Amino acid sequence: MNMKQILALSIAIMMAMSISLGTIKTANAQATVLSLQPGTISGPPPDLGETFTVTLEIADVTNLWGWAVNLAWGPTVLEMVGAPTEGTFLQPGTLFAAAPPDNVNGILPDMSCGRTTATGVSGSGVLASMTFRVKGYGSTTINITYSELLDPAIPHNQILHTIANSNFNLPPPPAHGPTAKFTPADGTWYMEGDSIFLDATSSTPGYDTVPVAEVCPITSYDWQIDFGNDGSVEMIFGGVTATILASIVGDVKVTLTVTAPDPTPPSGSGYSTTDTEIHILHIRAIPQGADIDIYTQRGGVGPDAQSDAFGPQELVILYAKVTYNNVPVANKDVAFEIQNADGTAIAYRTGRANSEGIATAEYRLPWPDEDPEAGFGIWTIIGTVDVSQVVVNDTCTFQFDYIIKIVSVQTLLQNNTPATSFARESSVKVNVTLSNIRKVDVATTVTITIYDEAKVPIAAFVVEISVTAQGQTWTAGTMTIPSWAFVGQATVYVNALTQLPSLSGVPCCPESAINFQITA
Amino acid sequence: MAVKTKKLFPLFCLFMLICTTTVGAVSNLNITVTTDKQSYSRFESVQVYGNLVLDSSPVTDGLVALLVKNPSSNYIVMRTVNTGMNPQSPLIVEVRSVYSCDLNGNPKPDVSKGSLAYFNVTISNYDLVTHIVLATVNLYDKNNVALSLVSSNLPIPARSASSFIISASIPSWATSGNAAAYASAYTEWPEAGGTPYCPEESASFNILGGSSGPQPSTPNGSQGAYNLTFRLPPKCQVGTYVVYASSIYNGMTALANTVFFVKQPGDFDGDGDIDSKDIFAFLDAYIAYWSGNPWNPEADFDFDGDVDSSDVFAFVDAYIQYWST
Repeated sequence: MNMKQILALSIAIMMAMSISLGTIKTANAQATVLSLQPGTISGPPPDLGETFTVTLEIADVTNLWGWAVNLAWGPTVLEMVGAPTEGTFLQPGTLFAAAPPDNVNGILPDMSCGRTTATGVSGSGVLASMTFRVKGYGSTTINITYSELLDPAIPHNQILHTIANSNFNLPPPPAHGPTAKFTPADGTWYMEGDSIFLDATSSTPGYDTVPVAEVCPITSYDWQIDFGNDGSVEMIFGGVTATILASIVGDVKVTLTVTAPDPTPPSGSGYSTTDTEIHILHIRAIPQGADIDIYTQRGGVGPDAQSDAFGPQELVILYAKVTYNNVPVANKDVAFEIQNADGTAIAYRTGRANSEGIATAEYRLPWPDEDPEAGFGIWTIIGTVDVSQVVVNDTCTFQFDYIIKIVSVQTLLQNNTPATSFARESSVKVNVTLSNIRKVDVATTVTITIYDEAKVPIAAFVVEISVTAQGQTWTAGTMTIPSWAFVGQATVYVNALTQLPSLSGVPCCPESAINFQITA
Repeated sequence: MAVKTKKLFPLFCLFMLICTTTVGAVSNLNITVTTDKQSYSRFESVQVYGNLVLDSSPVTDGLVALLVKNPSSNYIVMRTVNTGMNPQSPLIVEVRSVYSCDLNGNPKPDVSKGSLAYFNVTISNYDLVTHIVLATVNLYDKNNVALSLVSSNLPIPARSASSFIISASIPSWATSGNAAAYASAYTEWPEAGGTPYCPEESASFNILGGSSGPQPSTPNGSQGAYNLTFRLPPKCQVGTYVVYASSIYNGMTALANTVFFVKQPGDFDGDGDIDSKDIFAFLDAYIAYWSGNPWNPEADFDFDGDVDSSDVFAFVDAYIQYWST
């Protein structure tokens, strides 16, 4: 029994004694509510393996000195991770203790808190917070199985209260096999002799619905390493994680196959026991003598590599790693030249390498008064350094443009036929296509507003969508033209915003507009 | 040759047996769709009903998408009803919530006639792949009149939820009081072969200026049969309306459609004209109303509950318009 458990036990005993010895009085006629928030949690998100936080909250309490709570939940669906943490309601001057959660049975056997002075606190606030991880699909209630609220009097009086539990639900996906996922990401650069840590913990198990619905755990992780990516496999091994040596210069093909047999066969149709993911990693030779590698905060590690894209007025942080025989060289001054899309140098900077051989500089992408978009294109950063009278250099390129762009806006009939004339009280479908130049999916809020000829807003549509990395995504809103709309030329305005302006969102790109006719 | 034929005959029989067995094992999902009448007046209630059958057995836990298209090819009704109870199998896509709000998504239960109402719809995708979902919001007033149908096509990434806000105009002729919004999710419009993902969700909102009414509810089917009743708008288009019904069950889809006709106001006998027979029918209704006898509500042109001079003028207008075109 560790100190925490002893402390928790002693506090629990003290509280039990005070209850048994004291006279329980009703000290509070107000509608005090002890609740777990949020009251309803519907995933995804959170999805399998992800975590979420539940807070224990008190509302409308008078003169609260101490409290004790026990919790229970469905152990096949949830598990508590870490220890509960105290909320601020009774602070400062408190003693907070919580027993270790029992995730086998799904209980928190004890959690309590009391003030170190004989004073109480009134009002509403957070008593504690707990983090849960989703273990399985299904529904469960996080129940307050025991609770007491005490006032500062000696003996303490119980404060009457009602409790409100929290309901969790995560519907399962359709039956599916496991999914193989691992790091490092595809395209990552390594130096010859580096250790490459392969981590497949993000792989997800399978799920089958027949004859019983159950998670199918991954039973084996099989790795194949093909140095040179020439079709011949040099290494085969197992394990969730592994470390290999970047021993051969060139590309290396890493193949992970996960296997998750259905524990209760037969499996449903479409259940595949295995899944495979392949990443191509790059191994460069150990630079002999002086070397420099230029990259940004969005990648670009490796010789003449490309960083992820940047948008208008974004800050670009430049990095230069200076080495000699692959060992960092400190205190070297690195010159950075920033070239715009025309190849014209627009800035020069010098950064001094730190003890890890890394020099930095930064600049913000310009947005001049006139024709700011003329600067869009592929920008280049050149870095040079002199190490023992040997000048070495590297470049890193990136795309400068609107990260999210409205590619097209079209008005259509409901049957998807393009149209530019719509009658009052008829439906107009506005189809919007957006592009994303980043290497990651980007969430954006798309708004469609329709004005009639008198500039009266007659319809609106707002949606947040995730635009696929380096791809295009479309969405559409179909709205009805009101009978009171002015006939004549109507205009559809489409915006892509980071969020709605009321949530401090800003435009991702200029507004796009098209016209159509409203007829009587 | 005869010998060869004789030898081949058993093989032929075996082949036919296999074919027969195979054909017999193929399941068929069939859906029917019918309306309670073939011809309706404006503002009249339309009942749509039918059956969902799998290999001659009623499907008692199916979902049916019902789409009504007006003569201008605009959709006016899009609903999801069940055939007894909602499906027991896990859903892939689900409408989680719908509520009346402002354009920022803040709940706003009251809307005015002749203004725009906004609805926030949240849909979850439980699948491991992105689904492009057709989400619809269909509004009805206190009298169950189909007011407006708006929709969105939105990509919902795997294992995530998406929300959107969409406007819908509240016509000036809508009845004040408790109104209903029904939100549904489909693979596509049933006319294009789409089927429902999940049961519909409903929310009530208030059209200002009236009294409360019944809470929205989706009719439950029974024993493989489904039904839906709605009232036609008072100024809906005259002409042929198409009703599409679609369903998916055990991976099989079924589609069906039917038509009904909305009569021209004044065409009491539904024969496509406004002639002496209709004049007599109108007069009968006029006399019946003023005599305190049961009367034909089709004579109430302005839907104010009587047959008075304004209805007489409206009928004469319809008569003149018919004969002048």
